[in-house]
Amino acid sequence: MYACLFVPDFPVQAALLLEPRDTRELLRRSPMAILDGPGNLPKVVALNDVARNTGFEVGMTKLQAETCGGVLLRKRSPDHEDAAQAALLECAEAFSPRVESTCHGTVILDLAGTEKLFGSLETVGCKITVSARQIGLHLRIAVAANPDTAMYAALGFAGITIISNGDETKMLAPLPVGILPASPELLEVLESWGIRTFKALASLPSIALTERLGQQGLELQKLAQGRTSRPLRPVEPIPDFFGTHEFEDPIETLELLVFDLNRVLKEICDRLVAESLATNELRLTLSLEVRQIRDGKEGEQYQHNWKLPVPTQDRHMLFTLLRLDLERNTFSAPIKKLTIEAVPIKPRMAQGNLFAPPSPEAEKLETTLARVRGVVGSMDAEGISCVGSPMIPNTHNPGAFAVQSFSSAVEHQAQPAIVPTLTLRIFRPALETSVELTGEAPHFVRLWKKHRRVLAASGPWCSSGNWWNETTAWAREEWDVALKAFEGVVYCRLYLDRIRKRWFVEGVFD
Amino acid sequence: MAYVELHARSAFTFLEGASLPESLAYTAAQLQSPAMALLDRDGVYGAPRFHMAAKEYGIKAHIGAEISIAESGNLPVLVESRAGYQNLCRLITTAKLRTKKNAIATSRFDELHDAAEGLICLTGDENGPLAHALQKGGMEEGRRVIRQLISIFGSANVYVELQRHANRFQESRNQAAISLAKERGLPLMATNGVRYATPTEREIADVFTCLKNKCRLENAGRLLSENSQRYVRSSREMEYLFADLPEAIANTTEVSSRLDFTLEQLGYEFPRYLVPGGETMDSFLRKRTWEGARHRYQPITERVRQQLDKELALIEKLKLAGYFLIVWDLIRFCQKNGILVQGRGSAANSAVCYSLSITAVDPIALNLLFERFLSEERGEWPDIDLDLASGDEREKVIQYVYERYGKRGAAMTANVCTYRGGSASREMGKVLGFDEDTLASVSKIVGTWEWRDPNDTGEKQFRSAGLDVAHPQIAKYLDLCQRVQNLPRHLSQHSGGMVICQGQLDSVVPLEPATMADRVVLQWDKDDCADLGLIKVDLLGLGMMAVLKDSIELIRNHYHEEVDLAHLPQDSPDIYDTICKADTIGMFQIESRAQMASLPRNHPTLFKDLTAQVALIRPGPITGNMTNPYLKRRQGKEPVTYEHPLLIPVLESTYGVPIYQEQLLVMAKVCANITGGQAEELRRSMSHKRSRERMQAMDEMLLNGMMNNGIPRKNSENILNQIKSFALYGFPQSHAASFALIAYASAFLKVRYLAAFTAALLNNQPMGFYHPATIVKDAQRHGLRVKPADVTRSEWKCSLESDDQGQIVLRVGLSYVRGLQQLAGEAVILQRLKAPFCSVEELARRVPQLSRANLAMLARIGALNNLVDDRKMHRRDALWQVECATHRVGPLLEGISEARVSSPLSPMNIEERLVSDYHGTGLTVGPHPMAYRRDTLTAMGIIAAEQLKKSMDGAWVTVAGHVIVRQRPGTAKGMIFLTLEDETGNANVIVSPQFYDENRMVVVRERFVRISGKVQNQENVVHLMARSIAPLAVSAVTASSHDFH
Repeated sequence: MYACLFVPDFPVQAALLLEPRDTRELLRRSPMAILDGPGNLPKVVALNDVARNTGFEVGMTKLQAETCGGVLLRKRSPDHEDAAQAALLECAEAFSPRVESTCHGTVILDLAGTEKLFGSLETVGCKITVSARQIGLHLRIAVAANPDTAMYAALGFAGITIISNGDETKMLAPLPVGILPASPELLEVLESWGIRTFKALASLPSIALTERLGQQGLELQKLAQGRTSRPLRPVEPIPDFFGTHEFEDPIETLELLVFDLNRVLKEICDRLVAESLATNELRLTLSLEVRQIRDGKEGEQYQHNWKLPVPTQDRHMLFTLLRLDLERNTFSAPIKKLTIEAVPIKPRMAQGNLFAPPSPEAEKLETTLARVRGVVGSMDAEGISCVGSPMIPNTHNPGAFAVQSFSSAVEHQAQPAIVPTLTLRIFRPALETSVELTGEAPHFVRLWKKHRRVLAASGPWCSSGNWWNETTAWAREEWDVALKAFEGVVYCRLYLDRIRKRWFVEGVFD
Repeated sequence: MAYVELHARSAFTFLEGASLPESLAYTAAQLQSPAMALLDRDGVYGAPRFHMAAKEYGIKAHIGAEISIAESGNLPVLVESRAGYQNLCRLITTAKLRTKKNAIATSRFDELHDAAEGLICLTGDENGPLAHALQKGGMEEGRRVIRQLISIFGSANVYVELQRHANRFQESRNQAAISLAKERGLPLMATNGVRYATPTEREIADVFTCLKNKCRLENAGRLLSENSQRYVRSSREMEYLFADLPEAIANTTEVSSRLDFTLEQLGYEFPRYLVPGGETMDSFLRKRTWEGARHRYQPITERVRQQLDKELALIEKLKLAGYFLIVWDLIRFCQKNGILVQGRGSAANSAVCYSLSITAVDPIALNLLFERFLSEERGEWPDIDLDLASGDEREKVIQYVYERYGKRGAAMTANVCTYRGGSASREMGKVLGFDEDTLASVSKIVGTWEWRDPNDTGEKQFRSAGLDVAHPQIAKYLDLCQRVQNLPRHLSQHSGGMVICQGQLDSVVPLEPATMADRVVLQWDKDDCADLGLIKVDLLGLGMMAVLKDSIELIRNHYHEEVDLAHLPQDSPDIYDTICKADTIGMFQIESRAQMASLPRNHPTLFKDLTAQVALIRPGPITGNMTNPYLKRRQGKEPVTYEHPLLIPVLESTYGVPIYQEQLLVMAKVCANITGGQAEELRRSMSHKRSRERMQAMDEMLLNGMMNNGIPRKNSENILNQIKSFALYGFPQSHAASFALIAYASAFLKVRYLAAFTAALLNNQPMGFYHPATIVKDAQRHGLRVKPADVTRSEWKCSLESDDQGQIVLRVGLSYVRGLQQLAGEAVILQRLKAPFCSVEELARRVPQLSRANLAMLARIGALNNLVDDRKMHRRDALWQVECATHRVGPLLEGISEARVSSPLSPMNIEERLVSDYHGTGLTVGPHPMAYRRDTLTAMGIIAAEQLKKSMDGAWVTVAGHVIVRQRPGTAKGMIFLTLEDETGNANVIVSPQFYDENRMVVVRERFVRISGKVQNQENVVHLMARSIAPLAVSAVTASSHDFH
């Protein structure tokens, strides 16, 4: 037998889980709605019964819900929902080792062989209900001989429903066909036939139904009759791709570290190979010994993540990546413990494109990039990646640029030929400055701690954009100027940020 | 040194300009610019409005255009002379006519050669030919293009254009252009490539760019403009920008002085009518008029003779004989081809038009004012509108005009579609990235009623749709919606206005293909044409004319009687009895709520009463508070008084109350001694383009005139108010009479031949005030039997057939089946004629044009119930078979399926049948949805519409029904009129503005409602004043209402 645990109004219950128990029970009796959608127009996506009975509806905008008043509005949080689903799974796992996480708010568990532990099916149902209430979830439970029947019964009936083997069709009869996984077109056909309940669908002649609606119709009928049989897809414990080594004495040399590093990495890679998995993300954590304890800190950690362009099981490549990174770092204290975690993923099975331009192997490219990062660093002061292909985003904003990761699979697009004129060395970030004006043109500019006279100026060159969004709107007025300097003339580019009303030196011409 | 902007683009370069031509002209005038040139892309769409506005603001309007050249960008050209203008129009026309609608029409350099005379060319902006050449092949290619332009236009007529929009790349291009100009000794010209009047309108330009490229602002990137520099700049700003090139500024003034041409010198001429040898157009017209008069007036009295002589003399004097003959020629074409036609409008004031059979109303018998039609002083073309049956017959007449005057000699006038509440909110929302549901709810709620409540602001409407206007992005959304209002969106063709021209129309205005095949449309709308003195003939499609024509045919075929509309029995009491009872659903002009409310009080018994009735319910008389006094005086409840004895002869026939436009003009004539022409000028001064100064001048003239006639000041002011209140929105008597003729004919046919009239009405939808569902229910209440659509009996259109008792019944046509294409419907009929169908499977096999959805829809509405001879299927039997017939089974299942005619499905219940009927055909021939709930409704204390009519004044009652009409007329001070329909008839409900504010969603959205309130029963005109409203769960039918916005 299978039991399905269904959490009605799951987003609402998930949001309530965070509340303290007393508040939660109080809130459960008040109208509550969950909002989701873009920031400028959030809409109600879920409600509890109290809100529904008060006249609130899914699809209302936040303003409409607020105007009606008296409803508690919460923003939808995928994290909260994940946490609630985890809690639901945990609750189910207390009663059976085989639990399927069907979807958010629904789990199905295999009750075979649990009678001796928990008693009759009714008793199990009650115990699950009590257990779920303790963690703050109000459930509908249905028990049946197959997972689908249990699921539809839980969706359709409140409380605890036990369906004996052979009673499926009779018990499911009053349920609406709308809850079946049918396409809108098929549901429209059923509606036009006047087939609105499981009973009506179950009683149609099967061959005639198949003639008209094909295999999909037959499948739906079986579901409506409670005659399906499918294996449960239990949640499997995620294999552990995690390795750690605690040094007897904190170590200070890289040679000692890489020895154990290599060993731990080998164990993880062996496990990946055994599970026919690979990794595309590797996380390294080094716990450091702190000799002086300051501000209550007992230790420090060094952490680094590698995101790989392609999944790999190659221990040597991963080891090279780690070693290159460690080589360019110095640590403030000896290392006490090392931890490596690999995020598992299915290995790459596809063959490379026969017609793509030749490019280095992804693994080799990644190693090379790691070497480059070792030289230039990985991020600049503005948080922009230092290694990758520079890219000009689609905007008129002259200062905007982005860096996209190198990828061997990136298609090389023909870029318009850029005719070199003058080279502008850009300061990133731009140097804020003060400018004295004559008319609207700069007359004196402060650069490198000195006021410098403008010998010649060309401008203003104006640009602006994103006027529809207060936060991202920008407007600037550029001037190319020749400044008098001790050693001669300096040519540079200034700009006035018209929104912040501040002047900057953007760069210097060679 | 003055600067003249010679390269401005308006919003008539659709989605590439952001300001109206008027706003550009206004801004230029504000900046004290002496002139400006409007250069829209491939057209002179905005030129008339620009010209009129410039005239008003005292600046000179230069005309030009940007010509799209294949692979070379847009070449700006300025019109120097009339020859140049004609060349430009022909050039654009040639390119447009060989290109499909909405595609970019490009000209070739060789065509420019032929059209260069009288044009000055600029080398263009970043999209111009020089910029294209420089980008493509550098200086060398630039030189080649310059040489090419010089060879086409001559070196004196090529100016190297420079624009400065604070852009480095543009400046480097400018430097290249300057050096090329120096090489060839060409003059420079500074322009600002204006795309909007003020910098803030750059936002609208960006929004339009997104709409054009079908993207959102967020991802439009470099498609958007880089800055806001393309606005109308002052001379000072331009001089500062071009301080290094003063000659580029000076040349703008010089070129401006060379541009002699304005739209005043359009050179339009109406075509001459070809007359037989030895005749002039005047003599020919005279002969045709007297011929006609002999037929129309029997006998020709002295008064008729004098009137015709007077009219013919004036026509001759104004050289309008050709115009009359051309219209006469159209009428003759219609008569020869059996096409129903009738002139309307002020033409009905002319005895000549009546004699030529252009109109059907005798102006002499009705004492109509000829000056309203034609006046010597007015110096304007007369306006003749012809009503034709809409559809194929009207198209025949239009094609006859093209055939006779050539594709380039005649064209339909355009209709400029502008951004309004709904379209603005939808498109602005799309650009800002709002989802479809939100856009739908906003466009639904954004008020587009005819009445605009001053408190019903955009902000309030947005709030009603659930949008928080405090959020900056929503505030921006609202702001854009408001700013984009009235900007042109696209050009469509006017419903019937045609302009014809002596010589070629394409030298007066560019022509382009319309979306409809074989139609050519000109680039100006009817107001522009009128402003520039282009004469148009309106060939208007009048749905009721088609109904009358179709009715006559049905009567001939099924009643075996011949009805001659020209000789209908006049003043039949049974017809007027029906009209007096306001039992007028489907009748022309007298079926609206307001008409129905006044009919019992007006109690028309003669044709002239009906004419008055048509004129009475118009915005003019209503807002001028003339309707009620007229009705009261007619009923004898109020004494007939006059503001002054001078008005007695003018207003005697209408109880001292002016209801016709002519009466106002005569009032002005007799009281203030103004001439006929001045009276007409008065009417025009109060038209929709009214100008405050002109109005004031007219007021003074009238008041002085009245004072001179000894009319006391107070009476003078009353008379003036009467004149002003409805000069625009009143009907001329002639027009009302023309309409009353059609109204009477429609009433006659409905009363005497209900089946034929109803079938014709249903076959010419959409038209009138009511949905087909209401028309059918009304006909059923009058005893007509209506049968449902049936594939074994129905024609494509609604038809008549005889039942077993020999009575004529109406059969709903297959055209009413939702989603069924005419081709498929006609294929069903064709196959049925060959051999009857025996099963759904056979129908599906023999008519492959029927899709699965078509068959399912036919089954759902019961149109397949009679398909099998031996037994009547129910709808679900048919649906069951449809699914089998449209899904071919494999060989495995073939032969083992059950008998095809039976199904395991239950028949539809009443509610399901109703839902299917409304969903599938928009109507039901069975009982009204409310009829099924009558017992419950009665138990709830809800009375039927029939009972409401008998309720006492002041009684408190509750009615319920399907909302069939929602109306908020501009004349009713914000009141909303709802019409509820139940099985017994219609109930009229009035909703006050405050009540509407409190119950907006229910009033606007609900299909079935229950309304309680106080009865207002005045002289058998019964309304319910709504005090509470609630949705009513009657049925899930999707019947729609007719909401007048």
